[in-house]
Amino acid sequence: MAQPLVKKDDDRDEEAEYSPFLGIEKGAVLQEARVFNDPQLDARRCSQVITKLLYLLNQGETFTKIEATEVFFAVTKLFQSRDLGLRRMVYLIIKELSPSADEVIIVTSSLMKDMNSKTDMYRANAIRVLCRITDGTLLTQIERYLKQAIVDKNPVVASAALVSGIHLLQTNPEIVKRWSNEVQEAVQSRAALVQFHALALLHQIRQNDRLAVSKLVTSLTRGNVRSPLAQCLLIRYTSQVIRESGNNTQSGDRPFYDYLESCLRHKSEMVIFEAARAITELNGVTSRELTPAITVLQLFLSSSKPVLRFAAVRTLNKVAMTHPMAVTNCNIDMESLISDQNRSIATLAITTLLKTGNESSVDRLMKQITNFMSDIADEFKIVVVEAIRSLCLKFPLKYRSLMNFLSNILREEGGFEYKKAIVDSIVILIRDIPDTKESGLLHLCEFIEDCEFTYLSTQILHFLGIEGPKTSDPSKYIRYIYNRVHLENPTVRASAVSTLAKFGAAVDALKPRIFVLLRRCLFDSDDEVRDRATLYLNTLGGDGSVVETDKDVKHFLFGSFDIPLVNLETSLKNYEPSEEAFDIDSVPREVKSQPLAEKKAPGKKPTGLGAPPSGPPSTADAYDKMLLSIPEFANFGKLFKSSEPVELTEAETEYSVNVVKHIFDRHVVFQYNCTNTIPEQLLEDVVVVVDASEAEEFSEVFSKPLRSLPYDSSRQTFVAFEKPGGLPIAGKFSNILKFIVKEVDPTTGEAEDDGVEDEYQLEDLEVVTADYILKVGVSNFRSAWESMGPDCERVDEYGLGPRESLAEAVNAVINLLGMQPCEGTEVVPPNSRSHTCLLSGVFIGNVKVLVRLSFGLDGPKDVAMKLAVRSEDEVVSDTIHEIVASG
Amino acid sequence: MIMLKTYFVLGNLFEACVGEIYSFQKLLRLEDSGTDRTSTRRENMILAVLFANAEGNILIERFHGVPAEERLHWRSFLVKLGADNLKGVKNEELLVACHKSVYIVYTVLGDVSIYVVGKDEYDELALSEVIFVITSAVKDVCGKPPSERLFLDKYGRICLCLDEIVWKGYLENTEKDRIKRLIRLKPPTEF
Repeated sequence: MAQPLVKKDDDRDEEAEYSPFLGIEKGAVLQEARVFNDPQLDARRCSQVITKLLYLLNQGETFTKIEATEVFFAVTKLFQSRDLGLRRMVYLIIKELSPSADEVIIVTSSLMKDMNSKTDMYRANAIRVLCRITDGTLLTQIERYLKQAIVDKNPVVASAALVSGIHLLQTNPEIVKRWSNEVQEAVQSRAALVQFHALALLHQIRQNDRLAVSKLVTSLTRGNVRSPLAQCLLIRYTSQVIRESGNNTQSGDRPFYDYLESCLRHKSEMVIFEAARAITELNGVTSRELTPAITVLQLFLSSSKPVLRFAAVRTLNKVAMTHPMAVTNCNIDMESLISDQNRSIATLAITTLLKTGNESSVDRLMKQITNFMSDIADEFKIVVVEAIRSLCLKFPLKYRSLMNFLSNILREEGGFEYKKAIVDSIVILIRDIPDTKESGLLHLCEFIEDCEFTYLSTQILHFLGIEGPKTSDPSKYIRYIYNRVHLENPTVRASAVSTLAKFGAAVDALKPRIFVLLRRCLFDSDDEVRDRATLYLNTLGGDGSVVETDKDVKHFLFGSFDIPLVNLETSLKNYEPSEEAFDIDSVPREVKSQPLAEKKAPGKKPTGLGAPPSGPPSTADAYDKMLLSIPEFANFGKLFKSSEPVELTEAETEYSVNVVKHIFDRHVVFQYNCTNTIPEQLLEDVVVVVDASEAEEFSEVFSKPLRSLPYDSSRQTFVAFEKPGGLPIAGKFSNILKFIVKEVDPTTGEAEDDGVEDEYQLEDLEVVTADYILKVGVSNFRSAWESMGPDCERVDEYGLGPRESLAEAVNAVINLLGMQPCEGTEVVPPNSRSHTCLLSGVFIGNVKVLVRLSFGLDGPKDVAMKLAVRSEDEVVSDTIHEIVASG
Repeated sequence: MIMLKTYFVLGNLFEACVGEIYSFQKLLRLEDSGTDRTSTRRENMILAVLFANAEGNILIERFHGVPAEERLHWRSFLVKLGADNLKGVKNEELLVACHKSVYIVYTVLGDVSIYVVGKDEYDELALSEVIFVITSAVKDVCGKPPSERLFLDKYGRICLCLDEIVWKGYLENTEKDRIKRLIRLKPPTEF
């Protein structure tokens, strides 16, 4: 037992003055540790030294190898002492020192002796220490004792062995698995903790054997589990079993539901809550099943313990997303929680109410929220604002009170994120509910009169420029916009000038007045503002020298900017001032394949101002435009699909080439994106020579070479093929890059006149059937499936052979088909032995296809799959089967 | 009964990020990459237990399954979290922070602040249980909410208690009387 190092002193002032470890120093403590070697051990003093060592270790002090070894050896001497307190400290310090493998041997014999000691507590602690420091070889020696310990009548010993088992399972699973029988016996123990630990270990041993887990759950749910903790575990395992046997749910009663329901009447709150949560999280839970769980959660809502209120309201909040009607019964209790002193509970209550409330309760709710908003932090407010936005979209008739609320909070104090959430919400409402436009725009105008965030001001001005001219009285916004020109920083002023120009272009009646305003801007102190004003004056009222027609003006002002900014930046950097003006048409419009990180960026939030109303041009749109700009492709018809870029070179080679496959009805265009990575070279007349001898049904119709490819630039060359219309024809193409190399003088950057012809072998390229399927999701798979009807359904079963995991097999099939996974079914829960994946897509010729894949593990690794296809055309259904059969 | 007050500082509730969350996410990214690196690394445990004094100096720390190079980040993150939020908080009043499946429950007891970090099954409810056991054991050892000095006086015994409560990342003992006996190598009374 650790004794206080300094005499206890009740005088607090003095007590706080210095630490008992003041001036503690590693060297000195190591010196002190020599007392461990005394023939006459002073247990109390030894305990004090160990405490100091512990303190040092906890302060992040590290011992050198020699120091640690020395201390460790000294500590082992302490096993001679019979002092209980000291022995307990010895166990602890051995664990903390975590000796290396060659040192462990020194204490092993002492610990083994303790393991067989008559003193129960020695046995328990020795087991824990041994398991902490031991490795596999030693484990086989002590296995016998551990097995005995699991069924020891002393619960502390049994628990120590069981928990050690849980840890050892990670490193030596084959040994621990041999203890099944003993663990099984321990599950029946009368001691609560032993039962809990045994259940956890037994489940871990069997977790990969679905049948065994199911049996375990079946037998235990019938029997009597005493410990509430074990009961909670059992509930978790039960819901896992229910999830995995998911397919039976349609047929009749859910297995084990009665057990979960009975747990709702357990005396321990922990168990009740666990059961309620398990029920709410069941797949496809029905309202009849939900009711009893909701009822107990409702009781928790009025509990005196904040933690229970919080847990209940959090669970109900989740339920409200999927089953809002089931939660409405709790609305009264929830409303009283709005005034809960715990703000987390209050916010959850509000957002739940906003999800479950009906149209008639909106006004009352808004009143309550208004009082509540003033005393919560910004991040809570953002949650509320987002909830209100979805409420407004749900009940468009209530827009007046909701819009009022938003405009009121917009006037109050708040940080950037909060204000941005409000502005985004107003913008989304204006877009989706036409009635809100006039009032919403005015609210935004008022906001920019006193807005401290440049970003928001410019975004709102941009939005005003697009929406303002379409209102009944555009002139009333001019004042707000022109005020910005007077009162704001240059960035906002420049935006305001652009917005004014848009009004001028869109509303003829305002044009002369806008001209007056724009002319005043010519005297602005900032370059950008003056430049913009000059540009717009010339475009709008010019003599035709800048833009020729009215249509051009509108396109210039309102058209989307379809050149990727990265490309523009590179081109501008490469441009050298010369007689020839910079030509924006020379900027490549090809979108570079995004780095992986960017693709992963979450895009689930509804975008507000971030995206212009038309939406940023998607990759598909960009491709479409680019291909249309090449006259030879103009008569190919509508672009059906563009593939992801396929790399044709290894990373870090001299020339990097990837290809995008563009599929048209009767044509296929390969777009080769070439990058020159050698500073000393300029490539000219770059073409890709394609050998289509393994793609008989394709015939080359056109090849567009690339005139020049300087260092560090990425440009495209195209090759087009004709093929029979409407059919998903596959083929393999081999590619050679041919070009003329010109040496570049690194000092002057000038290329030599003469070049050498050269070629470079690229990887082969394949057109596969999946290229003819567009990824198009459906919002409700089941209804889409049923409305498609079974007329063109084709069902078959396939063996996929041994696979690494179920998830790997599912991904392989998704990639093979190139279709859109629906409802998140592409994710396979860990440890599941079966999985259903739903895919949807559009086949070339605009034929909708739906696929239902049922996977199951057949044996340890073999995956079997049932494939059901429904489409509008049976030929397409057959084709999908062919893809899988040949894939 | 313990007075509990839950604050949701960060979290799975909120899509929006405040500055604090950024640093938290950074930690989590570190942590995720750690998971990839060592496949044996287990989830589902008490990742850390940490005691700090009023100035934010660490008194005791226990990490489980957190690679050594990430501990410094956690340490400073937790101490900052405490400095930002624990002012004026009553003894044993619990505060919660969470992001995705990592949860932090923290509190003050006398001059000492206590942080517990858990993952998955060790959610805010389980952690509140853990921290309740820890605070009651500390109070039991010290006889009252400890000053820093008193805490250090009882340092050895507190370490022993902690050893009984959290074992390699799992909650083990929950009753303070049992713990009190176990740290003296006395068998529990129920036996």
